[in-house]
Amino acid sequence: MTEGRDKSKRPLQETYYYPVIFMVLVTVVFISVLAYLNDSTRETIETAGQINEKESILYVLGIDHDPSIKGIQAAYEEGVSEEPFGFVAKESGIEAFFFTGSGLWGDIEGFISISGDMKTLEGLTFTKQSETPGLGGRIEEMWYKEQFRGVEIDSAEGVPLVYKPEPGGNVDAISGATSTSKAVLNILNPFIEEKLDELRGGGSNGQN
Amino acid sequence: MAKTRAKDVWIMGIWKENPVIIQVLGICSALAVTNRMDNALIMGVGLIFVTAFSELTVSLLRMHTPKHIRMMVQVLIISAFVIIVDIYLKAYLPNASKALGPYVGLIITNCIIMGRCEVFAQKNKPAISFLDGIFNGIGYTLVLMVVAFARELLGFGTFFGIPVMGEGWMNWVIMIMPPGAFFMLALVVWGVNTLREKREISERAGEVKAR
Repeated sequence: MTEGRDKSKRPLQETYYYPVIFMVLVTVVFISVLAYLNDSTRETIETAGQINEKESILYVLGIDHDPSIKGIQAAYEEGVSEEPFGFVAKESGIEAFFFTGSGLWGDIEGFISISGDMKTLEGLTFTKQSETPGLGGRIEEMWYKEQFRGVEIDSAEGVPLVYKPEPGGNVDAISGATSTSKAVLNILNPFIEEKLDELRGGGSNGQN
Repeated sequence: MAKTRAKDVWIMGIWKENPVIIQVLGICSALAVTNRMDNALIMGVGLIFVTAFSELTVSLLRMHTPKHIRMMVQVLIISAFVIIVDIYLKAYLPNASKALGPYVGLIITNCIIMGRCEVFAQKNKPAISFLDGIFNGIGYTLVLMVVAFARELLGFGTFFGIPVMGEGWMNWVIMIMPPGAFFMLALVVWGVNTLREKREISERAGEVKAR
C-alpha cells in the first residue's frame, strides 16, 4: 500500500513511462537529424547519379571526353542523341542500350553498345551492382569491361558471348567469382540476341 | 575504470586489448573487406567515425538512459551514425560507396561498436569515451590494413591498386577468395600473440632482475 503513495513522489527516472518517453525523444532527435541530412544531400546524390549515367553512356559509345563534370555534360549533349529504344552516338552510329538482370547478390544494371551494322559489341559498363567487393565486384574493372569491345556477335551458331577456355570463348571470366561471371553472361546473352532480332527484324522488312 | 586516462586508452585500444586480435570482435568484416587495401581503409575510417561518435553519444546520455532499455538506445544511436556514413559516402565519395556496397550498412552489426558502448561508454565520461572509440577503431583499422596488405599484394600483386610485383608475378587467387582471409587473419593473430607473449616474458624477467 505504501508503494501506491510513494508513486507520486518517485523521481521522473523511476516512473514506468519514463523509458517510453526517453526512447521516443531519442528516436525523434535522431530521425530529425537523419531526415535533414538525407534531404540536404538528395540533390547532390541525384546529380552524381545522372553524371555517372551520362559518363557510362559516353564510355560504351566510345566517345572521348574531358573527365570533369562539365566535360561530361558537354560531350553528352554534343555526341549523344536519346532515342526511344536507347542512346545513339551521332558520329559513329553506335547504339547503346540499358540492361538489367539478377547478379549473385542483387540486380546488375548497366549499358551495352552494339555497332551500327550490328556485327560487333562496342562497349559494356555497369551502373549498379552489389556483387562481393574485390571478387564479383571486379566486373567494374577496366580489363573486364574492355574485353567486350570489338567482340563479333553476328555468328549464326551459338550464343554471342562465351568464356574462355570453352570452345568459341571470346572473353575471360573473373577468377574466384564464377557465379557473378556466369550471371553477367546470363543477363547479356539473351539481351543481345533479343536486341539483334529486333534490329534485324526492323531492317529486313525494308530490304527483302 | 572511472579513472581511465587518455594514455591508457590508446595503448589499450591499439595494442593491449586490440578489438580484433585480443577480443576477437569485428571478425566478419575483417574477413570480408580485406582483399583490397582501399576497401579496408574506408571501412576502417567509417568504423572509427561510428565508434567514436556512438560512444560519445552513449556516454552523454548514460545518466539519463534507463538501464533496462540501454541496449535499444545504443542500437538506435549506432544505426543513426552508420546511416550518416552511408549518406556521406553516397553524396561525396560515390565510387567508394559503390565499391563497399552492402558492407557500409553492415557496420551496424560490428560487435566492436556495441561492445565498446556497453563496456566503456556506459561507465565513462564523454571525452574519454570518444577517445576510446577512436583508438579502438584505429586498432581495428590497423589489423585490417595488415591483412589487406598481404592479401592484395599476393592476390593481385598490387599496393592500393598500384602494381608492384612486376610482370612475371603470378596472382595467388586463393588470397583474394574467402579462404585467404581466414589464413591471413589467423596468421596475423598468431604472430601478434606470440610477439606479445615474448614481450611479457621478457618484461617480467626484467622486473625480477630489477628487484
